[in-house]
Amino acid sequence: MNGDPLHTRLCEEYGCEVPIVAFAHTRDVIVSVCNAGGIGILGGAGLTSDELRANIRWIRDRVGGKPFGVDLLVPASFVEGQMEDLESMIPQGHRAFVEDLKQELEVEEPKKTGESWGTLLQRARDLLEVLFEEQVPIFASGLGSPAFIIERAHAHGMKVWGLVGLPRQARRQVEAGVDVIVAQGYDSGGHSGTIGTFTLVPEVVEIAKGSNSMVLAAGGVSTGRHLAAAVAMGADGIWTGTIWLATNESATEMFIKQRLVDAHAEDAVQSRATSGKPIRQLRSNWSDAWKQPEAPDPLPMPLQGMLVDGLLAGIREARLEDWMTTPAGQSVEGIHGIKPAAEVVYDLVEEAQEQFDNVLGQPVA
Amino acid sequence: MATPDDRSPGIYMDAAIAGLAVEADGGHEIPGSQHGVRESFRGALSGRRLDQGDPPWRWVEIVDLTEKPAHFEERAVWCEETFVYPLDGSPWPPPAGPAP
Repeated sequence: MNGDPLHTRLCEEYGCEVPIVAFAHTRDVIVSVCNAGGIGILGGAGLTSDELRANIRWIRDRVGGKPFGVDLLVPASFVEGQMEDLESMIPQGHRAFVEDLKQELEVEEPKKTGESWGTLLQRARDLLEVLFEEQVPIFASGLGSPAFIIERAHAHGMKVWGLVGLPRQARRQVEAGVDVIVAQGYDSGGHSGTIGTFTLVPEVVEIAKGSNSMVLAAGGVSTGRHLAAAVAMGADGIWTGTIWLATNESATEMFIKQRLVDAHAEDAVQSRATSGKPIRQLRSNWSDAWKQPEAPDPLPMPLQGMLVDGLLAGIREARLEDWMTTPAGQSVEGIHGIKPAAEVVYDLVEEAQEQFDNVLGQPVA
Repeated sequence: MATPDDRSPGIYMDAAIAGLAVEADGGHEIPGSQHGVRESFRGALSGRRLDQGDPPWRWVEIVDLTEKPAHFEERAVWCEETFVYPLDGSPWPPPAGPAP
């Protein structure tokens, strides 16, 4: 530490200039954040092994040795199921509701998708293998890491980060030797736990105290005030996602970027309408339709996805913008414009420093 | 004592852990999306186990679920053994069974 509260242990150990971590699915965002002094983590879920490898090499070629990482959703549980049995479990009333929507929106017939658990596990292993072969500096696991993966990553000189939503999960990750615990609160986009960021982060910091594990605060983080608060709570930095969707470099469609700018925290709603699992996302006609009094309650996963995947594909194909959405956290409140990712990094730092100045009554460092 | 399950390749029965009360933190990717979900469970181990790949990725089946996520209607869930916690403090994880 050099007296600058923003020069945390994360900066010391990873060589980044500021304790800001950006999670994004667009590789251009990752490169810009790394080159602006933060750490970029590429969302690898949904990529094939070849796509993941190509993205890693593309990023590595552009960040000049700066740390970056890849986040994978390594499964921690699964259920056995047979698609033909599941089809018969979709109630007629739900089919009728979706059929009515389809006719109202005039979109094409759905296509069926599905993946057996055996395929799912093998695909996760294949993606992990790419990370090991490419020796990506940071492997972030959104759902936890089995011990054998942590050991192997460390043997390859890689750091392992783990996202948690419960103190119990944090305790287990610390015991397992995870290098950085990302404490992700209820405010976050996508699937979030039940504990708010302001409650979760100090608890996880306490759990990690005395261990080698660092802690990042996540969920609802989009301003320098949040960064200053995270550091004040004992975190070593912040993990951010939603704010990068509205950057120039993001592959997010322009109309979604503008909706992110216009949105407030209450527009980041939790809905089960897409997959059957609660996902915090930007409010849209889709999420609203399933909240109408005449709408059925969304089905459990995987039935809801089987019911609506095709319709959603049709909506995207027909570009019905009011019906399209993106996962987003309550941090949309802090998005006020579409900017270059580097500018977002600089703004976060400047505002955090102002907050420290205000609290301490004098400029820091 | 571990015995292979002839109906499901890779799955075998481990009587030594059957009936053990556990809680577990699961989670998985949501198919067709780039997002995942974390989930917690409480129940009893059925004794069925699955070792996948090399090095083995070890899974145990939990049944008689007394705690599960809202809208989870499955009878059982398979959880990765790292995130399974015996409620009585039994040593965990259990020794690996024989190759199925």
